[in-house]
Amino acid sequence: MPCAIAIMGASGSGKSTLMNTLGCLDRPTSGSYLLDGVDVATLDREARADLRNQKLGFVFQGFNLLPRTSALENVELPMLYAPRRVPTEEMRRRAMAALEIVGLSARHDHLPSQLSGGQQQRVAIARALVNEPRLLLADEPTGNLDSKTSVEVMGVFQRLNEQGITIVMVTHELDIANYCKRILVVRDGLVVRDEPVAHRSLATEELARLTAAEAAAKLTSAPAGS
Amino acid sequence: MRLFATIVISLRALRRNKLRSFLTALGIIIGVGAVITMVSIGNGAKAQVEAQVASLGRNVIAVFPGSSTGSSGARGGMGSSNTLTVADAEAIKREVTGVVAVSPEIRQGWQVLGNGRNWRTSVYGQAPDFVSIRAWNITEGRMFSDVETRSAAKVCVIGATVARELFADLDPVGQTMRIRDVPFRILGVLAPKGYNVFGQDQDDAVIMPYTTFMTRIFRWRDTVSTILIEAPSTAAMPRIQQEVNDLLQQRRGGREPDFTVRNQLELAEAASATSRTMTALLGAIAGVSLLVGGIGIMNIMLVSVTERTREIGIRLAIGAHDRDIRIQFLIEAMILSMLGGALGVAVGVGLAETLSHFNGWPTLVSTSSVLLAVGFSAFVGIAFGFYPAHKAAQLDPIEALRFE
Repeated sequence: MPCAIAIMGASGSGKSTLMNTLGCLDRPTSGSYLLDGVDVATLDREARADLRNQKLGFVFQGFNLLPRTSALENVELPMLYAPRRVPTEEMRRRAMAALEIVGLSARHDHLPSQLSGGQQQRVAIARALVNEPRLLLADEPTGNLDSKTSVEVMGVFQRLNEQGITIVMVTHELDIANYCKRILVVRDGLVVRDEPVAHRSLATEELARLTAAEAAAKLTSAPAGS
Repeated sequence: MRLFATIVISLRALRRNKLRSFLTALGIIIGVGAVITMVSIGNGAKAQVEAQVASLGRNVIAVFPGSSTGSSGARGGMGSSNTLTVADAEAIKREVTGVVAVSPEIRQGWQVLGNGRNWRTSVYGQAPDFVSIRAWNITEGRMFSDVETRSAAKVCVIGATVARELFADLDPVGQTMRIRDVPFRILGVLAPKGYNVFGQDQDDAVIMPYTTFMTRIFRWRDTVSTILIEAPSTAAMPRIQQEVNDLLQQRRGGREPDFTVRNQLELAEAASATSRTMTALLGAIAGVSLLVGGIGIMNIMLVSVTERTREIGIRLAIGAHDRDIRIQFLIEAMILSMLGGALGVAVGVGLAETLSHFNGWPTLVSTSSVLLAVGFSAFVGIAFGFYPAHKAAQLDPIEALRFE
């Protein structure tokens, strides 16, 4: 079973540096980083770009979708930069499949401005998935989302994790971290704690609970309103 | 190479910013349009000048009187002496082989009367061959004949301007006009020829046999002002020019030459040199606007790199190479400038057509100016797109992603 790790820590603790290194955006100045058996420190800019394209998926706090570009075209983007050319039809098919996974295939022609925050983040996840990466890196993926949408996004992550994708994410919130299997705490550039999650939250249960609570709230408020 | 994908990416990026793309291309549209319009105007003017030169006649060689030193010692430049004679003209026709036609020309400005009106015009004495030499048609009536020339008949043909000024709607052929109190019968009207290279109205003329001119209305004059010669072909012109020169020299014995022999090509050369300079000048001014358009593209691309820093960061993060980013921005700049170039050609050709249609300016759109303008706009795209593209490609993905 692949792992799902949450990295926690105060600002300035080295979380971002760790993520940039894991994401092959940065090279370690000393030591080595083996990704899928390859020492990243020895790779040049282009080789790391190909590695990011093929083995990594990125999800950012600010979604980072291209503006004025449809969800489908946003998801197609990593395939346009694939080392081997992907035919147009296959590109479209795979992008639709990725949108299907995050439940947004019906809105493939929507622009980011026409989507809610949660939907935008799901498009970003679909984009991260489209090249079938081994590792999904998420930098505060729920930082800009409300709690219910956060749970929905965690649900997508847990499903992906079950399907075999390793997930590493940075978060400030402990209840979000609890959806992962392991929590790392970083301070001053060192991992100070590394422990498994004792009571792992399950997004499906949490969502069911939230929906039930919402329904109850509607029932109790309805008579008062009329 | 993933050039195809990069072109797709560039097109998508341009489509995202339609207005900005159009405004950027506008600089090139105006530049290319201006170049094409300006060069068309220049070329049109040149073609007009060439037509005017051609209207001088075909393969014309002219002998002008040379400089003079009078008996009192007064000196003058070309044309000041009256040394060419009818005998010179006859000798040329007789002795220079290959000469098609010769006409001794003599000219004065006089007030002429006809149909109860008067008009000041140039009165010429010519030989009947004159119409052949100047390639000038008679629209109504006929040219005077050799017989009429030998007998110094009081007949003439008139230019279109004189016909209009004196006779208005009347048919001048067969009418009588008076020149220095001598009545002349009008035999024909010359076809309109318009203005010559020097801006003179060629149709403002009355032409009579040179014999009549010299014996009946200008008796004391025994020299001619010009001798016009028609060569059989352009190729024969230098030889005939030389032979005419030698012949006249020989006829003057050992005296200093008092004449000048010129051919039409020299005149044409001088005239078209002027219009070439004009075309080059207009083209250069328009070229400046094309350059400014190019700088506009660089400007927008630079702004666009800054504005799209995050986008570049995203692209780099998900696997774009530096080269992909560089080519993307280069292609964007090239598409903008080529699109601008294509639209500019349409604008330029349209404007040239409009100008010639409404203002009556002669314009001539040349293929070379179109190719030059479009080629230059593609060059502008690459040259001015390169720096912003390079700048974009050098961005650090981490910094770019953090950019707000």
